[in-house]
Amino acid sequence: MTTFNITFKDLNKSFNQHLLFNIPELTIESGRCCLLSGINGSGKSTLLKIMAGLETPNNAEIYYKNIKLDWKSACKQIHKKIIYLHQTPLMFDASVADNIKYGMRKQGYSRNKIQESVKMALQWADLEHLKDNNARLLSGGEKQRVALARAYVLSPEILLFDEAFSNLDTQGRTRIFEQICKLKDEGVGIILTSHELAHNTSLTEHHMHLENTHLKIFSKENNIEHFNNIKTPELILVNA
Amino acid sequence: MDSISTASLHAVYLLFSGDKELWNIISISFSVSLRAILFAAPLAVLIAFAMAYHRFFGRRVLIYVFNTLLSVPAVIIGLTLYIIFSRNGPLGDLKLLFTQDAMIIGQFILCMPLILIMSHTTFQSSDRRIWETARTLGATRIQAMLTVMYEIRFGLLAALIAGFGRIIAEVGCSMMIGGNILHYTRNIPTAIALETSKGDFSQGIALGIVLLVMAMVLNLSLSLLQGRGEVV
Ligand SMILES: Nc1ncnc2c1ncn2[C@@H]1O[C@H](COP(=O)(O)OP(=O)(O)OP(=O)(O)O)[C@@H](O)[C@H]1O
Ligand SMILES: [Mg+2]
Repeated sequence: MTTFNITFKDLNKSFNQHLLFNIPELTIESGRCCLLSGINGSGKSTLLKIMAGLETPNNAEIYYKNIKLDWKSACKQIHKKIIYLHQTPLMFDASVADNIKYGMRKQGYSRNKIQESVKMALQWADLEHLKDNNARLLSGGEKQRVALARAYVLSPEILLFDEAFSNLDTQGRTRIFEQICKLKDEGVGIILTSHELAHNTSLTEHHMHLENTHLKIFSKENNIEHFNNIKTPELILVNA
Repeated sequence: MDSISTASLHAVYLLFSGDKELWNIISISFSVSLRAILFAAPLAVLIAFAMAYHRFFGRRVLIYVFNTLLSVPAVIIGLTLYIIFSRNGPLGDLKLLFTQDAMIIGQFILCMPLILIMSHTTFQSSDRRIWETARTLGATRIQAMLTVMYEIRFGLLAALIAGFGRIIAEVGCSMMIGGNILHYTRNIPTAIALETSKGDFSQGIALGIVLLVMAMVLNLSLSLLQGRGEVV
């Protein structure tokens, strides 16, 4: 299995002359899970949105399959492979099933393929009983599952979860945690953000910390002590 | 008092007996205004979208220009178009003065800024996550734009209705460049103005009833639609 990877070099972003971050080099790849931490306002969401091609960086060199791409053509690659999930997901004013169909419809999949995938995704996310409900009327946790299923049907290479565990109770967290594990086993790359400087050891191989415009990167291979010292309170619950 | 009540009775009679002249005036009014909206709305909504979702040079100036246009009185627009379309005017050769086309142009200029400003406000306050979600799920820019429009459709509909309301009952501009020609450019407001000045209230009252009913139906259906779409 070839891994998908994309490298950003000299990535920087500022809002109104105020530098948010400046990252010399950053590679994201499929099949791995990475935690991105940083305090409120450090730029985690902005960084994820840039990775998903939703926000434009002030400067960036992008390498995909060892070829340097300009931002526009990189976006074309990114949009198909990397999906960003909002902290509080937005539901389109339509049924759960139609929400899940959205991406496949826009990308021109055949009717049969859509029907098949949606059925499978509804099952996967345990949403069959809600499939005809208006998605905007669901609870926060259910919306999160619809958002995940909506991304899952598109078989992305990388999923970017912005604060995947906030707004969820213990059961909801366990559920999302299990789904993330399954996704990872299927070879999907995952980046999770958290504003709590903490980390779960079983799920993630990398830890990135955004602080004062710098991004520190730790990997399990090289910084095992770092990994043993921090735990995410929210994930401890899951492991217990 | 007595004459008013007889006039009102006669107005109702005119409406329900299907008075040819009256219904001809009504149909001219609607056909002209609907065509004006048909041309103005797509353009206004597209510009509004671009102004809300893209930063380009001159954006603020555009907003200022359309806001100003919004507060220019209809007679001034009528006067300007009259001068332009009159025989010796710059576009006199087109022979547009006193035609329905001229009225459509006038009403277009009247309703475009209003629809634009109102839909711009709607786009501005729309949730950015709609666009972001659509894009990250693989929608093209145009598909994402249509998705945003669909999600805020009630706000856009309100803008259209306000635009329609501005021109359907507008008298100054229609009078000046339409000329109030019976069976051709006489519409509801110019007919009311004319008949009233002649002292014949019944036709005016009948036409007034039509406008009132239309306003009620439009606003009622809008609020019903909004009520149904009103979820978190
Ligand atoms: N469109 C924008 N225009 C101006 N400033 C912005 C914009 N978007 C974000 N910012 C600023 O950039 C900074 C980083 O925002 P971001 O949402 O990326 O932070 P975050 O790390 O995700 O925070 P949180 O933990 O609260 O989610 C904030 O100070 C914010 O005010
Ligand atoms: Mg954030």
